[in-house]
Amino acid sequence: MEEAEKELERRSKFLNSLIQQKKKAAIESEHEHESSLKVDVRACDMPLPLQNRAFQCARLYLESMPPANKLDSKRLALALKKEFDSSYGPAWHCIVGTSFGSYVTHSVGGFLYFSIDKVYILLFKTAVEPLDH
Amino acid sequence: MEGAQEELERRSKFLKSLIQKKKTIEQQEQHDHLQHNNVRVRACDMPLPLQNRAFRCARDLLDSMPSKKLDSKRLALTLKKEFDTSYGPAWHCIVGTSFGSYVTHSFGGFVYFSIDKVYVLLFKTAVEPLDHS
Repeated sequence: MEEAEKELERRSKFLNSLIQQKKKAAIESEHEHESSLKVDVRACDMPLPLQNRAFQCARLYLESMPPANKLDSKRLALALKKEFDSSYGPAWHCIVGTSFGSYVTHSVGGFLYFSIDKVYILLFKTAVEPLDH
Repeated sequence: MEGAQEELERRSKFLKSLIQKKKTIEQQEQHDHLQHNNVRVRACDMPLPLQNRAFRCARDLLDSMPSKKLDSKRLALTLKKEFDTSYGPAWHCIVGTSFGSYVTHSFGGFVYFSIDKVYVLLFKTAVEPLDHS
């Protein structure tokens, strides 16, 4: 009975050790993830779900590029604009870069200016011209 | 009758010649103007008078800035206000040295130019109708 008890204790310690290692690895990998593509909201007038959508879209795009590649601002701007135009209705406008200032007029609830890694992204919505035939 | 026809043809040729000369002069003046102000049009869908208004406004402000450092936001604001006031809302302006963009603009309301080492994007969209219901 003592032998069985010792064996159980040994196995229990081993499992605890495995669990602890896994937790540590998960935390480390999460930190790596966070540190590589950190998001900072600089100015915002947008519901949270839309914000998160923008962050996710930008993150996926940047992560899909090989690290050595130069940022393709125009392509990222297009990707974000298309996603928001199709998901939340036109017209969205997107500016991506490392050095710019701006002044715009936007629709209520349609403005987000954030940075991700070293890239700044401005995403905003306006009304569209009614078709006039 | 033959004499009259010849006279009409002569006058017609003369008028065509005048029109062509005027066009050439205007193009040359525009070219000289741009070169003198170190302006280069990169993409455009805008009547010439509005373009010239934007170039002059940008030139005047850049010349008036005592420091060498570019104030992107101030230039963006100045251009937007001038165009909102003169040509109706809503205009949007982005100024910087490193950015890409994707936007939807109103017909005849888009110019992307460089002046000195600065890039300027100026475009117009519809505005949200006021909804008091």
